[in-house]
Amino acid sequence: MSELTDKLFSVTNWVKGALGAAALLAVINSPYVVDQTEQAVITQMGKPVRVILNPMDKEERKEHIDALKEKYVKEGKSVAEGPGLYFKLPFFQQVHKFDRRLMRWDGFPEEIVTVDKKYIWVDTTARWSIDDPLTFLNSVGSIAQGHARLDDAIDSITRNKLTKRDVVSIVRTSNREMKAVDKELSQGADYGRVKDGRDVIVDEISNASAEACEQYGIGIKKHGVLIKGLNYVESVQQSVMERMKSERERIAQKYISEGDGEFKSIMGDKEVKLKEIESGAYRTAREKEGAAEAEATRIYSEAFNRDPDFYRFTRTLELYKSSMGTNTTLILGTGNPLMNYLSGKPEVKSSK
Amino acid sequence: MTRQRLDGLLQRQQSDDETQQAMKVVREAGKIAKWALIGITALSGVLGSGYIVKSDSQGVVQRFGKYTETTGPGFHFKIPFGVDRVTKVPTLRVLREEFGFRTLQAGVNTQYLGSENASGEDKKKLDSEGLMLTGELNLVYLESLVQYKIRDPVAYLFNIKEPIETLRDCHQSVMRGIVGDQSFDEVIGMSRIENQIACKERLQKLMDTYRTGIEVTSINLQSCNPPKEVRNAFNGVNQAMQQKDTRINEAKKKYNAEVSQASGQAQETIKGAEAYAIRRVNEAKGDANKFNAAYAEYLKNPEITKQRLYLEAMSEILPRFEKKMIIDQKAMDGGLVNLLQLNQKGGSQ
Repeated sequence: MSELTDKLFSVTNWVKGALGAAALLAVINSPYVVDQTEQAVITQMGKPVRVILNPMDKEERKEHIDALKEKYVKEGKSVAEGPGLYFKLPFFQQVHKFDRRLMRWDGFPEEIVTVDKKYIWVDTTARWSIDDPLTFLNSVGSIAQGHARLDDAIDSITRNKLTKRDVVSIVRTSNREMKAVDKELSQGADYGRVKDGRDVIVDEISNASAEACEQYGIGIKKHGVLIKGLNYVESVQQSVMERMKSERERIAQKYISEGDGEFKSIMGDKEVKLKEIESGAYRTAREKEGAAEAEATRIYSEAFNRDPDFYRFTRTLELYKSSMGTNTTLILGTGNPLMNYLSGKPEVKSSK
Repeated sequence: MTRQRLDGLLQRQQSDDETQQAMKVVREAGKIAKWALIGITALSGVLGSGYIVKSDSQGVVQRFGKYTETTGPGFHFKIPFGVDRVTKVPTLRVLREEFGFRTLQAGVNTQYLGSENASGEDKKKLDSEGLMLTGELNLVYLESLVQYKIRDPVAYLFNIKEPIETLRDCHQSVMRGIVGDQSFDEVIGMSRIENQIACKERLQKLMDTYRTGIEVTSINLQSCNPPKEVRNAFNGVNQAMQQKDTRINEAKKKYNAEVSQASGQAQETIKGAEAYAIRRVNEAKGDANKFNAAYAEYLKNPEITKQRLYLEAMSEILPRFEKKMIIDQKAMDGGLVNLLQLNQKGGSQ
């Protein structure tokens, strides 16, 4: 018999080897790490025996966490807290690790008809976490299943809350006065008062969803549900755009006619002003001329009144000088004073 | 027989030699494997016991999964073989998330994908982010950019599973909330700056509520526009507003031009009248003075002066007449003049 065959066929060696392998496997199988991002439930032959909690917001949620621990202890489970290295019975115990972080649930966009018969689609999303890992393991099992539960709960709650509202209440948060470039635009936007407003409705959905999911060990944060998408359905969008278009076109037309109106009004003002200026100037000119005339008249009469006869005389002579001209025939009667010397009368009478 | 036994012995000897040989090979192989294993373990131990954190980052250390410390930039030791695990988080870097558009290629000529040049699924995705309802139920398209830093790497790593997707969800929700409570005109212009500030505040609040460790550094509204389909109508309003202003300015220009021209003309008219008035008065004064002067002379010797004036006048006038007739006064009185055809050249005697 060779050494090799001796070794190969030695029963004691086989037993030794098997024991060694088993011990090694046990050493490898026993320890497990609970990560900072995880929590875990240990089951023994399928039955939960131990919970490793790793809660967030320990200070804020102390009461809740203490109550949870108490519940677990009452149910006969051992409880540990915090991440790190743990040991279990090899082979007999299994570790079920769950994320302890805040997770994201993203719903499918839902088409909803509001109370005022508007077709909108709504896209919701939520932050959730596994608050009670034991309950979660028993009633849900996996993250994927958890998302399915959230789908059921949040989708139906969203639908319920939104179908009761009119679209303005879902879109708007408050009744604040909205400003617009043109007054008419803001007047045209009177779609009614907001009763609750977006924030209130979203919180209602959040709270109702949290309540509905508690049974699964799923926690939804306060303000955990968000509406991230909200719009009219495609076909309605088109008609909204048409409305916006016609609204703006109307306003544009208004500006254009206002411009024309202003133009005409200014032109009218201009005519008034021009007439005022022209007639004012005419009046002032005539007044000045009149005053001068009066002044001249006064001057003349003052001078000439000293001797009207002499004035008449000199003025008449002036007249002769200026009015009698060439191409005229002068016929003088001998009775004319000029002819006095011709007719033997030596005196010239001055008066005509 | 002996021969047979001898052969058998020889054979056995041979096979024993072969066995020995095989045992030797196995032992040698085992030795090499052992040393190789030790070598690899030692090498990975050495390599795994140190790490470098870059200057813009922080290292978060976990021992057996449990968070132990946060380390700054530089070289640090750790326990190898998976006992200590380090995650490096770029805490100083400003990160960005885009909404309603995507940067396709950053650089000198940055290329963007917007709702207008996108199609199919891309457009649908961008529209779902960017197209929002305003308070008066109009549609507006917003392109926004969120810039953020990871302020608290521990919270960022351990509190939230999809921090960036969460940031995206929250931003969209917050923006929609703000836009939904404003008029279209406020969104696209009047309150744009305020909206950026308000959005930043509210987003930060949500980030804190969810303990994401994210600090929102800024929110930029890249563009706020009406949807493409109605943009022309919107620009039409602006054009109409400008047209109105132009028309009014035109009118005012015309008004001012014509009024100032008329004022000039009015001044001219008035000045003309003033000139006339001055002339008239001066002439009157001149005439009066002339009269007064003559009269003063006249008073000295009225009769003679009067005659002189008369005769002077006559001597000036009479030569102007081409023809002169002297007719006896009786004939004059008897209507002779009527018989004469005065306008006939060289009238008869």
